[in-house]
Amino acid sequence: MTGAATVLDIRRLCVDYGVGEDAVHAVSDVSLTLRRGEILGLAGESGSGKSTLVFAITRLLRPPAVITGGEAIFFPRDASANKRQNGSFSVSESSDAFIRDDALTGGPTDILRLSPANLRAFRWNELAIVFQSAMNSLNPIMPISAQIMDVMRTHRPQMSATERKQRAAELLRLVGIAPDRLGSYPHELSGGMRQRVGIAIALALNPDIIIMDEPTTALDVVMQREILNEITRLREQFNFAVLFITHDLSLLLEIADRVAIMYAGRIVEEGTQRDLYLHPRHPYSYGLIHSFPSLHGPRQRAIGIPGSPPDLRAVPSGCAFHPRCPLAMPVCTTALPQLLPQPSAEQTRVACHLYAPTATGEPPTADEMRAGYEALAKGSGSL
Amino acid sequence: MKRLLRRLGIYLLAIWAAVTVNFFLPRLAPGNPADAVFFRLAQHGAVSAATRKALEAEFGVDTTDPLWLQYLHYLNNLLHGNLGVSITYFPANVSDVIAQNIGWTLALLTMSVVISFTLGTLIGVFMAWKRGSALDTTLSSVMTFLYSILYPWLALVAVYFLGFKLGWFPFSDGYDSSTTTMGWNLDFILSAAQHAVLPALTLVVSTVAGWMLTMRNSMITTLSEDYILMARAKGLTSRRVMFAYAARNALLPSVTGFAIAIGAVVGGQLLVEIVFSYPGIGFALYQAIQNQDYALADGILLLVIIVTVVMNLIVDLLYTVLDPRTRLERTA
Repeated sequence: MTGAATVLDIRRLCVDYGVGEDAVHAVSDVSLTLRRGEILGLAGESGSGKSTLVFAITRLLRPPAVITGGEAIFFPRDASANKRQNGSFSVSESSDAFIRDDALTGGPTDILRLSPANLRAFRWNELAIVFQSAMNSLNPIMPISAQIMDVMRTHRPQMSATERKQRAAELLRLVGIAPDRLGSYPHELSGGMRQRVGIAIALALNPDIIIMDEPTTALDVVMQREILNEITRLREQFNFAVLFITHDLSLLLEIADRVAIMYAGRIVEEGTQRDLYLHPRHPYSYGLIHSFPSLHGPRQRAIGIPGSPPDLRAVPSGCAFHPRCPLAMPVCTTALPQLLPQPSAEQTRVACHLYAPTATGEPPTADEMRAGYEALAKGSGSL
Repeated sequence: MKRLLRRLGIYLLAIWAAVTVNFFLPRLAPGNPADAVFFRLAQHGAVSAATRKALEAEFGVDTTDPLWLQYLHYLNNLLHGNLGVSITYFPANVSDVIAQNIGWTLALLTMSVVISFTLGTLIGVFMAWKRGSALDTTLSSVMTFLYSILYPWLALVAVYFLGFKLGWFPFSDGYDSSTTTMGWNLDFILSAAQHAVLPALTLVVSTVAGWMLTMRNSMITTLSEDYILMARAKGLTSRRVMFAYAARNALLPSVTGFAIAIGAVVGGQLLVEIVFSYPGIGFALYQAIQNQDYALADGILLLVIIVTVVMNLIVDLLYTVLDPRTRLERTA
């Protein structure tokens, strides 16, 4: 995926809840780049700001949340390039149904500054979302066919009713549901099927980006696996970029190309899936990765990160992770570490004083981090 | 189908129970209709013992039959569609009295309820949509104020100012009987419409707030649902999100209320019809009670019961149309 063109560039995004002195900084200074066709995983504990980030870049935040700074630049696909070349669109390719709205065919656009009309055109055309619980994100009194087709009716008014219906049936087939379920209501479908319908709706307009906000959290593990396979398969077929939000890092390490880890509203580490898995640098990343047992490799005791995520109303000074960090140094309590590229790995960035160029001494090894966590665990165990 | 039949059975049982209570309750009160008419006649001069006997025979109160036997007679008459003779409108049949009054009530009240429901619900939708805006906060307080106004006071104020002082609208009777004749002619319809303005207006003003507050609250709950978020994310027009996704779901609790209100229409709004001397069914009921007119009161209450039950049945059926989730029960 290296070298692929950027499709979404989030730059120094800040989101507060409330204004003034008491404002809670849910997302602080987050920069992330999503490249065309890649799966970028965003992991973090509850309250780390990952969902707020998603709602900010989709402009779905509700008061009292306010975007206080930053940009989310969307790069439209080259007009000449046909992104659908890998797709099989027997129904629609022949017709003019997929001629795009002109609103966004220009250059890079800041989503956060789109006019209401352009925002509406942008939504779902370029960026679709699969929500956390498909159970609640489908309208309970509307058959799923209507919920798939109203996207087309709004964004592709040229499509005829028959074309819409054909496309809806095709979409259901794509996600492995028999088209005869078109008339079903959400309550008549199983949890897994509903999530598939959610994915089908997301695919309806062939967006460049699909954001998946914990799409498998509400499902049992078997269904999780199926949905993940489905997502991977569809991604290969249609080449959309995925921003995959989850608190389940093990899942991300499996499907994502790159992973970013958030803590207390900031990105603490970002890197390729492989690099992050093999060499987690930030002590928090290390803790997350080793807090679940691995099925492969040598037997290791799972470690836990002591304490709990910080209250965003009172984020610790300096590095927000320092009260829970086994390797905290005096500087961690005072200075905010910058997210800096690492010389050892091209795509990795870490926000930790241990890796700063000014750091004295060598960065910690994996064994040192493990030892640190075990010492912390013993310490708290004796309390 | 089986479910429908079971429902029907339950409804029939409800009607029978109500009819029974209806029969016994007024008869447990002291006095009887023959006395009432006797005293009314006596005010105009002496009434012979024979007349009194005849009255008692006419109203069926001369009987020495025990109450339970009278009850069986009553049920038998009901089954034959015979509601008896009204004392208030003597010697008219109860069914004729009802037929004569029901039109007025239905026209006035159905119109008011429909207007009030539609208006209140729409305002509620917009207020919830613009929650926290100046429109919402202003209307919220205005509506809460309206909601707490006592209807008789509002009606009297309207009668006094709009009717009596300003003379904009007539404030009694259903139409102007001195200049128009009842029937399908323009004069009569205009006159009837003019007479309906004040009672309809006061009714709408006093009930619109209830619908509105119900809808606003239901709508606010609905708006926080994930499917609304998804509808917005889909880039649908606000109108579609507001109506097809939000209002359509938020409306469900109001439907029951609407059906009950329509059902209650048949019984007439006693206060409205009394204040405005409107020739409707409520007014008739009021008179029936005053005159111990068992037959008329029983007849009207029977009608109310049947309509309420039928409206309930309709809501039941309507729900399966409006909310697909309730259809599950049928197949299960």
